Amino acid sequence: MRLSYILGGLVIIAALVFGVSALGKSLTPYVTFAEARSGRGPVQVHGYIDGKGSYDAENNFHFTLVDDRGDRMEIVYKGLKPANFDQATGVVAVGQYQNGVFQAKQLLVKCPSKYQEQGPAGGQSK
Amino acid sequence: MILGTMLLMIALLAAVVAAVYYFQGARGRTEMLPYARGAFYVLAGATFLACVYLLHLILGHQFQVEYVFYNSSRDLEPFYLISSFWAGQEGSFLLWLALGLAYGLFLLRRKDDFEPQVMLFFLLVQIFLLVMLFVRSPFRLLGEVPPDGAGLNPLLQNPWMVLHPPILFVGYAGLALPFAYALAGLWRRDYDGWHRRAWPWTLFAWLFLGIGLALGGYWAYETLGWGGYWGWDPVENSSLVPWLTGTALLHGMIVQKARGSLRRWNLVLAVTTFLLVTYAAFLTRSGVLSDFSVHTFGNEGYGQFMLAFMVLFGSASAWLLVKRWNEIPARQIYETVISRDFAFLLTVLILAASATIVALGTSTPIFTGLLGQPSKVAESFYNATNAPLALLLALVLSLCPVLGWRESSKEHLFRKLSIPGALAALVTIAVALMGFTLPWVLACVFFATFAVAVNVQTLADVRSGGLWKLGGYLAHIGVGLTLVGIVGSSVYSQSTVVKLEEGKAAQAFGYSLALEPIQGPSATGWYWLPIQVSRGTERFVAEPRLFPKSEEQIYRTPSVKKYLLEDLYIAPGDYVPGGLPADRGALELQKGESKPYGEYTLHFLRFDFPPHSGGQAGPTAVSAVLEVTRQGVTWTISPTLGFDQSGKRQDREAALPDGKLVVSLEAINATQGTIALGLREPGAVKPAPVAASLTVEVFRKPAINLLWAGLLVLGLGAVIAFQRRREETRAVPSGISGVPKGPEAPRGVVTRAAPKAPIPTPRPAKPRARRR
Repeated sequence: MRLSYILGGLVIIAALVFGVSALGKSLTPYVTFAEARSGRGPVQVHGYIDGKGSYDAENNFHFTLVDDRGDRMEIVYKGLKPANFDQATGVVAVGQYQNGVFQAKQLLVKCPSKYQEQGPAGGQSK
Repeated sequence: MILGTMLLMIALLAAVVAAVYYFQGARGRTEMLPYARGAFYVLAGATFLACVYLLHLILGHQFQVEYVFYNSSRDLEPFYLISSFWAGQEGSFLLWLALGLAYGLFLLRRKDDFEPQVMLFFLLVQIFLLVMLFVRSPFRLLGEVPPDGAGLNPLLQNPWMVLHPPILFVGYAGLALPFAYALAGLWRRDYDGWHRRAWPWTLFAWLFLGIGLALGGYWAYETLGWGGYWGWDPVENSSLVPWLTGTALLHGMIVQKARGSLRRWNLVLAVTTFLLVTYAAFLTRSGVLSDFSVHTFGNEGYGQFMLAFMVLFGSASAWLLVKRWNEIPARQIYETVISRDFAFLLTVLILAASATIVALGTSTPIFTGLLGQPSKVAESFYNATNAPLALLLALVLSLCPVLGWRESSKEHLFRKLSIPGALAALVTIAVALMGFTLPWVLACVFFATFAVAVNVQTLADVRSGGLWKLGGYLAHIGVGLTLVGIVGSSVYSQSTVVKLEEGKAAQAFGYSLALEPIQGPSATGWYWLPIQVSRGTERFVAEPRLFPKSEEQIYRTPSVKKYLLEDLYIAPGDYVPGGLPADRGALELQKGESKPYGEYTLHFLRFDFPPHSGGQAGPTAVSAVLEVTRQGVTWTISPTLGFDQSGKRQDREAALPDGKLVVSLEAINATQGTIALGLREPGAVKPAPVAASLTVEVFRKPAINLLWAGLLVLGLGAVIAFQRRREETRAVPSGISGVPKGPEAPRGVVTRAAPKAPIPTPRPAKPRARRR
């Protein structure tokens, strides 16, 4: 019995260490554009869209995000332009700053409608 | 309006009165129970009438009611008009309350001496929901009478989405029952009777919560077009967490019935599951996470009330648990690791761990926000932490059916596991040969197919025991299939963005995609974009759809082609109509409309059909009759769009008499009555028309259909299990509570001394035959 308690304890500790490190690695804090440019891990930035955005030759979606201070940053997203993008009041981009642009893995589109019940009215992408 | 508000006030009053009488009844004054029941019926009656009244307001387009205005409109089909009832916060609270009261009516049909305590705690939950209805009433008036409502989100105009919320709320409302029964059991010091009574309710509510989750995922996959079914979004997570603890509770209940252990675990799990339901409502409806989710409600003032009730429920449960903790009979949970007891304990632990992880991950924006900068965790956190748990769960699933309670001989295990193990190994090798070679994916495939095979074998072994015994095994086959589906469709999902142009085939994943002219709109306003898809000899038409609500807001749904082993999923993006480019002399006109072009004003009068047109074999042509005005002079011209017998374009342009403009009819849209005109100077080269284009994202989703099939099998197993537990509960004579006097404690069971145990070690009423 004692051995199994020790083993059980070790398993729990290992699981905790694993869980906490996974949590630490995947935390994506909200940061300013300047902080995002300093290039640390995955972060989220929030801002307003300038222009309409466009696809490049490899069909990646490009657009410019402007924050409250007027700072601008180019966002690249490997995927379709999210639905409701054109009427969005703001966009949250989750990703990392690399090679002069912000490579977004996920875009959350904020819509002005009152209710957004039971379903992403678009904008969620992997 | 006044009637609705009055009904809700009557309901609240009746709920409080019923709770007070039940409280007295719970303290032994049973003569109060008829009054309590009477008040409960008034509560239920008033609530159901309020529902009917709200439905009446919605169906009658009473847009002066704010809720009706924001959630419906005149052009909605009746089917979707009904779903406006639960499209917003207020209506969904009302639905939740009404469903809860429906459960209450079923509870009262069975006279049981648990009634006063159960109903007391159950009523507290209903009072909580009623208070929410007073925070924001569905009957609040706007102060004006708008001619039409704001309408229902078109993406919610989907049959799955009509069913999804009510089904989820059947689950939410029902999970109040194990909570009420657990607290009643603590109150009555009956630590076994509560779980037998709560069991079928728990299974029922858990099943519906599960169906709700599955429907939500299926809807997301089929209509949203981001290629997935689960995004680890707070709204999804917060429903998943109580489902996971509910699953743990159901397994704990089996152990408590069979072995008399896990009593404390089950009480805690029952209470926690309900508290997590209220926490889910808090996270999604208070607006705390509105920055972190694509689809939570904004802050509408519910937050502090929900927090208050959560604290109330939590502290009441904690107080009762602490007070009784030491007298709850405890029993050693397992003797050896190779036993069904240990397997169940592991299952409960795995599910509880998974629930904890998901709950913590979902709550990180709150915790980190308290410390400073609010952060959320990436999806990778949930995947990385849940994957090893799922692997472990699959291992337990494959061993559990062949394990006996208490202990099992190794020879027996080996005999029973060898064939399924060999089968699983074969499947895993086949999967590896197909090119899926990530080690942990193969491990997952191995354990999941092992679990499926062992459970299928057990199903065959025990089928003589009656259909009702098979629910659990069937459910676990479903879990195994689902696991493979999840791993395959997420790890090996591939996607690529392609721009399709009309008349030019594009390639993706070996398929050739050719865009055809846009069709529509349908009666409901949708357009569809036929894409000829071909690979080798195979060809089919994919039809992603668009719903342009306004110039900026376009809803899109994907086309999903299902194959046995994978889905080909085509999600539409931007659509650019073809024709002459606007900056090179193109003009679109509605019938009767006038538009300026340079010095000219063009007015579109009507269509004209020249002779020899419309015949089946002959050439066809359509003219647009236009009035063109320049400096007070008006000419009438009619450029023509036509085809000859072979289907080739044969247009006739019209030159203005001033000799400075040539007008051609480029395209017509008969359903909308619009035309596109080409305008240029005589002698200038006609600009080449631009082909219509559509940007699409094409996904390959291997094994996704195993996921849906697995969920169906899991649900079927759950239905059978529910039937079984319901029959068992009926078989227990009602009115019997306290400790059933069973035969001797089983051999080798060690009873841990409980400090203040006034009752002998209880045994389940009917020890089940030892299953193998």
